[in-house]
Parts: sequence; C-alpha cells; structure tokens
Amino acid sequence: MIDGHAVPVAAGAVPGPAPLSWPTADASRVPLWVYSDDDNYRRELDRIFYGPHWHYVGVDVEVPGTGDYKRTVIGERSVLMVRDRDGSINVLLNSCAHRGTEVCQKAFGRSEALICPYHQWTYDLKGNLRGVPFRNGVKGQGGFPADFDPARHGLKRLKAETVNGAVFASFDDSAPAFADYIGPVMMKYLTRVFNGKKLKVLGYQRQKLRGNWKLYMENIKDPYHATLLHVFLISFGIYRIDQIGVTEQDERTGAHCVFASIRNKRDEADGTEEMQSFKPDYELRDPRMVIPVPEFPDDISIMIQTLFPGLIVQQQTNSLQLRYIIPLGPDAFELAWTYLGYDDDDAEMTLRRLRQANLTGPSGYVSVDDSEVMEFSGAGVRPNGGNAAVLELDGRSPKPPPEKHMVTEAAIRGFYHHYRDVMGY
Amino acid sequence: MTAIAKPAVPDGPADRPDIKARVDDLYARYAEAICDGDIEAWPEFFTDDCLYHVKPRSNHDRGMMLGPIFSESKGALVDRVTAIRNSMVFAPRSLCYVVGSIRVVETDGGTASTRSMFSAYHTLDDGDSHLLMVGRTFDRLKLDAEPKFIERLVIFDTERVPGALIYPV
Repeated sequence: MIDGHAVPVAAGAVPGPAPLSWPTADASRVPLWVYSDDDNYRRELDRIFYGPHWHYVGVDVEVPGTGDYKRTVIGERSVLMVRDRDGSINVLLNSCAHRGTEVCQKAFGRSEALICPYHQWTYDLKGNLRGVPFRNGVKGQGGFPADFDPARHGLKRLKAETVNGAVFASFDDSAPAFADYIGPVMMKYLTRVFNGKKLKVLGYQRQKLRGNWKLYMENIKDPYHATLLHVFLISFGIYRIDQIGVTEQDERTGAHCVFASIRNKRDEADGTEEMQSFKPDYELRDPRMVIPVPEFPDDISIMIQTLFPGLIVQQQTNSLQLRYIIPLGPDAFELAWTYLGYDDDDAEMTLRRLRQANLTGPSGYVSVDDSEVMEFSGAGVRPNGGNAAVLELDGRSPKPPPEKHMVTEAAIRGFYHHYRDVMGY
Repeated sequence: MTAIAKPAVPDGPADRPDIKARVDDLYARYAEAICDGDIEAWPEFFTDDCLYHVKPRSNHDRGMMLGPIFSESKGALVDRVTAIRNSMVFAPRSLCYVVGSIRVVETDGGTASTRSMFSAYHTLDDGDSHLLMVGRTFDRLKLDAEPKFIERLVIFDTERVPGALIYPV
C-alpha cells in the first residue's frame, strides 16, 4: 500500500476532481478528500465499520437484567445490545429479517422477546426467529412455503466480546479476538479504567458536529493542539506539553494509542513562552471542578486512549468518559459521550465526577474548543479536496518517538498509516 | 457589568397577582440578557449559593444527574462567563431565547417554584438561524422585589446538541 494507488474514478476530458490517490509514500501528508469524498466514505463503511474491526457498543450495567436492551449504532446501522437469559450479552442487527424494519425503537428497553412491530416476527434474545404470524396461513389459505426455515431468518448476530464490563462488537466474524485487535499495551491502559470494578453510568451527552469523523480521532491523537488551543487546561496546569507524559502506540498497527500525563504544579511554567494562550493569572471563583482526588494506583492525571476506529476512553482526573464516534455521512458525525463512575463511589466522589464533567461535553470548558475546531476543520477541508494536510511535527515516521514524549504528530501518522492499509490506498 | 433595570414593583405582601408579575418580569429580563448577548448580567439573576443545572431530558428521566453544565454557586456562573469571554474558542454567534408558559407552581414563604417552556435558536456567521434547543425549566425563586433564581434546572429535549452550547440558557 505504501505506493499510494489511485482508486478508479470516472475519467473525463474536462478537468475534474483530483483522483483519489495518496500524495506521498508515507503518512506525512493526508489528502483532504479523505474528509469529504462520498465514495471514500462508502468504502470506509464497508471496510472499517462493517469490516473486521471492533466497535464500542456499551457497558454491561446498561443492560442489567434478562431482556434488557440498549440501542446503539455501528457505522450507520442500528444495533441492539441485549442481555440474554444466561447472563451473556448479544449484539444484534436492529433490522427485521423479514422486510428490514427496525425492530426496537426505544433507546433502552426490556422485553422477553424482540418483536418487530410491522408483522410481529418474533425473535428470542439471541436473535433466533421464534414466531411468524400466519406461518401456516388462515383457514388453509396463504401461509409460508413448507420449506420456510426460521433458522435461516434470524437477526444478524454480531461477534461480541466484553472486557471488564465494556462491550465491543464486530460485523465481521473474521475479526481477530479483541485482545489481539488492540494488543497488550492498549489492553493495559483500557483495563486501567475498566479495572473489573462494577461500573455505574452517570449519564450521556450527544453532539452533532459538521465535520468528518476522522477529524475527531485526529484531534484526540494530537498533543500539539492541546497545549495551544486549550487555554483552560493550560491555565490550571491540568495539561501542558512540557509536563511529564507518555505517548504509547499499538506498534503493530499504529491504529490505537494512548497519551498519559502527570499533573504539574501551576507555577512551573517551562516551555510556555511559545504558548500565547497561557494566562497564569486566571483564577476560578469556584475551583471545585478542578480539584482532583487520586483514585488510581499511579500519578496519571489525564489518560486519553483512542481505539480504532471510533472509541476514545478518557480519564481526566476523576472524570471518566467514553466518546464514541458515529459517522453521519462524510460531512458530519455524532459524538456520543458516556460518563462513568464505579458502583462503590460514595456521594462525594459522584459529585466530584459531576463537577469535573463541566470540562467536557457540549458546554465543556475544554471540549467546546475541540468541537468548534472540528467544524472549522470541516468547513476548511470540504471544498479543498485537492490539497493535503501536513503532518511533520517530530518527523515523518508513523512510529511514536522512542522517548515517548508528546511533542509529536506520530499518532496521527500512525492512524493514517493504518488507514491506508485498511482502505487499500 | 451591565446593571439590571429595577422593575417598578413594590415589595409588598406576596399576593399571587403581584408574584406572577414579578416572576414574568424576571423571565423576560433573563431572556433579554441572553438575546442581547449581555452574559455579564447573567449571574446577577441568581443568588450567591444558587444551583444552575442544564441536562438532557433522557438523563433526567432516568434519574441521572449528568448534563452539560452543573454549577453550584454564583461564583461558578461568573467563572463560566469569564471562560466564554477569555478562554473558550468558538465561532461567533447570537442566541434568540424564547420563553413561555411561565407558571408559579407554588409559593412557600419567600420562595416560589416555577415552570417554563423555552426554545433557543442560534445564528452563526452564515446568517441562517437554527434551532439550538427546546426544553423546560423547573426553577425555585427567592421572592424579593427583584426575584432571583435559587435553583434553575434546565431540561432540554434536543438531546443531540447541534455543535456546542456556549451561552447559557
């Protein structure tokens, strides 16, 4: 894939859009058509979202009892996370095997069986077809053919795995085991938050942003912007590029990565002379939302993990969040936030997590900057598909720096190195 | 900071028509401050130990506390204004906040519980106005001559927020 080849496009004598070819052998350039081209987007759905990759579906405590289900989306397809009678969790395509109708409409529900409202085809919690009205006809008339086999008309059941309460699924049975998919380094960080303690969902937030879904993953893989754009973080020493931190990648693929940083004291201002945003005199009248309490057996104050293609696991001091990206065509995506705590949190810890949640979400002191920049990026890249993004901070390699520092765009290069492999560019 | 005009209402006995007039006036002035972009005036509608909480209806209905804004003091509201003015990066916009169905549910001594419905539209530089949010408020007011919010709970239906919620509602 290294010598980027053109994807077939309609040939014409008149000058048209640039062909879909990668401008460089390495990932130091990203052609801007990856953010806007409709054919490329369809290819992403097939190869990434419905291909042999794993997607976040939910946490087990969202479906505590038999028959509990949660609706979610992978790519553009609605899926159901369902608690089975034996306690296991099934992930089923929410589209009736009869005529394609969505079977469940509620975001969360409970049912002994999954019944399509249109013709009441009835499925068990594994998605097996159990009932078909008028199967034998009415008074000898109609009915299904004698060889109609319900076993062949169940709801599509996805490959599913659970890691300490986090549920993942894949449409493609050829996907590797989840642990192999993310690798041991990423598993170490994932199980830092999903550590086996029973989880508690504190709530959800949703945003619709006008930009391509990959822009958001890049944003999270980009420590360059964090120290320049986010005045709020910088001012309170919650994050600065000079602080002790590590960049870790799944080096087999470059697809997944982690940034972890250790909080520094606010009066240590090394490296801030080039940060115009730094405002050391910024004071909060009510500082409760930035007062952390150590709860993990290490000094990591912020951990942000990206798992290809669209999950972000974040611990920002005591705020624990998942961000899941749902593409809505090439030009928009939904950002679905799930805020977590642990079942044994006391009232004070729950309150602390709620206070710290002010930093993130649609009104977040930090996250607003990113969601707005996503829209600026979306607007800037959309009409300029013939141009390319430049990713040369810390060189051109997709590998993370050996010193594991954070003054790098290697994680974004890693993402696109992998993306080219998956997409065949 | 822009001073808020004092309503010409005497601080007399809390008979209902008078309370309703004062409450309506509070909601009108609150909406005006948002529409005027006068967010510096916004914390002044609240008591010092106020609670201001904005959350999606789906969380609220499921007994979940989490939402975009959770502020436990007037100081926290001032902090949000400071951040909007100094640290948050966002595209310029104006808000049109329309409030209706304001009702005093009950009064208790010097306080009142109220409800209202609202819609908020935002207009960015492209000049199109879009729906930002519709929702309800469940508030508790301190009934001075110029009532203030002791609690303001904003429950919004528009769960998938278009872009960001920058200015308060």
